[in-house]
Amino acid sequence: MLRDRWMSFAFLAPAVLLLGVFLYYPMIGTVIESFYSTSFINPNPAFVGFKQYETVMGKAEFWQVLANSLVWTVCVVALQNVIGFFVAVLLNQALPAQGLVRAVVLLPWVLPGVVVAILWRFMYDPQLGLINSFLISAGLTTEGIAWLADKTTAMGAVILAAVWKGFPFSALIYLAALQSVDREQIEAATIDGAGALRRLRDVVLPAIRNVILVNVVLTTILTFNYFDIVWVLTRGGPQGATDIFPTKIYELGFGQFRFGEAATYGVASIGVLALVAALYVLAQRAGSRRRRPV
Amino acid sequence: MATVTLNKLGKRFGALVALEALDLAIEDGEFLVLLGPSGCGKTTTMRMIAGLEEPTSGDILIDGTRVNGIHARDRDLAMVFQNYALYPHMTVGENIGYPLKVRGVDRAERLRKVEAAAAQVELSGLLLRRPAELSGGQRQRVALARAIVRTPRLFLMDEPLSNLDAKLRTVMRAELKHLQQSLGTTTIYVTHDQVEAMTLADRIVVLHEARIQQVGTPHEVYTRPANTFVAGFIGSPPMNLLAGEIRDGAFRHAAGTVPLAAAPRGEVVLGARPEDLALAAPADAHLTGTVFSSELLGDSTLVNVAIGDGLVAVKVGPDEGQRVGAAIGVRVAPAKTHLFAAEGGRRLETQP
Ligand SMILES: Nc1ncnc2c1ncn2[C@@H]1O[C@H](COP(=O)(O)OP(=O)(O)OP(=O)(O)O)[C@@H](O)[C@H]1O
Ligand SMILES: [Mg+2]
Repeated sequence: MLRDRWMSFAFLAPAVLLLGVFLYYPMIGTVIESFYSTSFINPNPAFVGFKQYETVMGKAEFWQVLANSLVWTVCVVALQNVIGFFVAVLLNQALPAQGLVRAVVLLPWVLPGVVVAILWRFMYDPQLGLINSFLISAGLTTEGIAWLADKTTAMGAVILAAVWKGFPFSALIYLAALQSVDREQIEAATIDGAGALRRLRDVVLPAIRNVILVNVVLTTILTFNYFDIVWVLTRGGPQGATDIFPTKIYELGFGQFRFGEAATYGVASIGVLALVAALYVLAQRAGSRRRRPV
Repeated sequence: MATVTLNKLGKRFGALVALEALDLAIEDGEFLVLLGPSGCGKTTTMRMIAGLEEPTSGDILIDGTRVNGIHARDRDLAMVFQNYALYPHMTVGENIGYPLKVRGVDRAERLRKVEAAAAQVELSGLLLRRPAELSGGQRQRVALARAIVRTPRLFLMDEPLSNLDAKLRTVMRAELKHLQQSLGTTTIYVTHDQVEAMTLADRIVVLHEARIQQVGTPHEVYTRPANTFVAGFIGSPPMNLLAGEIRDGAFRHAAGTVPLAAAPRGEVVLGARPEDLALAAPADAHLTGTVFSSELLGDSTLVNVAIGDGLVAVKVGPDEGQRVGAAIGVRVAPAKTHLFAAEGGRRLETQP
């Protein structure tokens, strides 16, 4: 027993060490940094306690970033998972040239984020963009819309690009989950009289419930921390309309060298993610549904 | 209440023939048993009738209507799957009640019917468990209850009792037979257990290598097997088969001769059930050999006699056990023998 205990410590040590050095050290460093005021002009960190939090949260800018982040994350995650799920349901049918179709669907996901962003910048271009030339030729508008430069459309445009890149990932995971659902259970439900939607609700969804949960949490965290697409498409603009935590932190830290403030934003974003993790644990607990006699 | 007609029903999986042109007419209210060894196409036949598998040839008619293209959901039947196919996230009660729930039966009515069905398969008290918390036999009974909770046109049961212990199986067998007769629902029942087939069936269909070997009542199949496969498959232990030759009014074998009156000439296979044979002193026996084994079965003793290079099983009284290795003779009742062609094993109908 004792030997086993030491063995398990020995096996765990490398993982703990890696996490400690690469994850917890910088994270704790960020928290400490957020209590100091550091900037380019004032390179000697001065301890200010919670003063920086007061300053940051006192500005409308912070609440704008928080609201943007939530809109962005909720929209991208919802669309990506819903579209991904239905694409997976389609791909799960017997299709002609199945392998080819699956490979084509997966394509957006294997492209680097920067490439996707540049691609969509062309698509959205007011003069040369595919979207505008389509709208004009269809007679829906007379002159090109500057999708990324307009405060009202920029967020939607960025979300669309991110969903386009992200849905194949969700589809792939859902497809694997769908293929693992016991075929005989679905057949039994068919014979019991359940139609396609009912089978989906009563048999398929409960069977892949945990995959859905993990997938939603995973895409939530990835999306919340998304940087490259937003940065390349809009740099958080226009007038902060698409500024989310990662772009704001990058801009504050490496654009304006206000490290203390950047760290404060960083700590706030960790707080938001911790909330998501807590919700996940709660959702998983709720999984043990009440037992009913019929 | 339904008749089922299969016209030249066939199924191929690529190059593999799972079922070869099956012709069968199942009557209204009949209890039909598909019997055969593993891999002979029993489940495949069931799945095609249920609408879960497209036939590659032939037609299925339920109540005279061709149902080939009709969705499984609209065929109004209930099926017990060989591997149960229970819904793991639902309780036992929810599992059993699912066919009712889908059809919009209200909660109170559902609960009443689920409790009745559960009682029939001795599952009362387990309604709140989940399938993962049940034994194999209990799961099988949940699958059975889910089928009988409703009164469909047709019951399809794929080895529904295979995982139960001997005692419970006997009880369930009686329950099923009683239920089927009181409901009068046409039932197609798959098994590879010939005792189950004999006791339950109105008619038995013996399948082997994707083909029908014989269709008949249990009595017909037992007393007049159509070929050596059926003869060697039905009965426990099955019929003894001895290859030999008929010459001068007698069956001749290296170990002796059996006088047969009106018999054809030439190479044949002689069949005789263990209970139709008797032991005798070597001097006044038809066939002679040595005792290979002697097993007390309770109500009888099974003596295996080594004759030539094979074994012949003889069923005798419980206190007629023999010493292994002793020289012994076997007497055959000529009127209770069966003859099969040496080539192909077809039954030769020349016996009186
Ligand atoms: N989906 C499939 N794909 C390919 N071959 C199949 C498929 N289903 C069944 N088979 C083959 O068809 C033949 C008949 O199978 P089937 O399941 O009907 O046998 P069975 O009589 O039910 O046997 P058992 O008593 O073992 O359940 C077998 O040789 C099997 O390997
Ligand atoms: Mg089978």
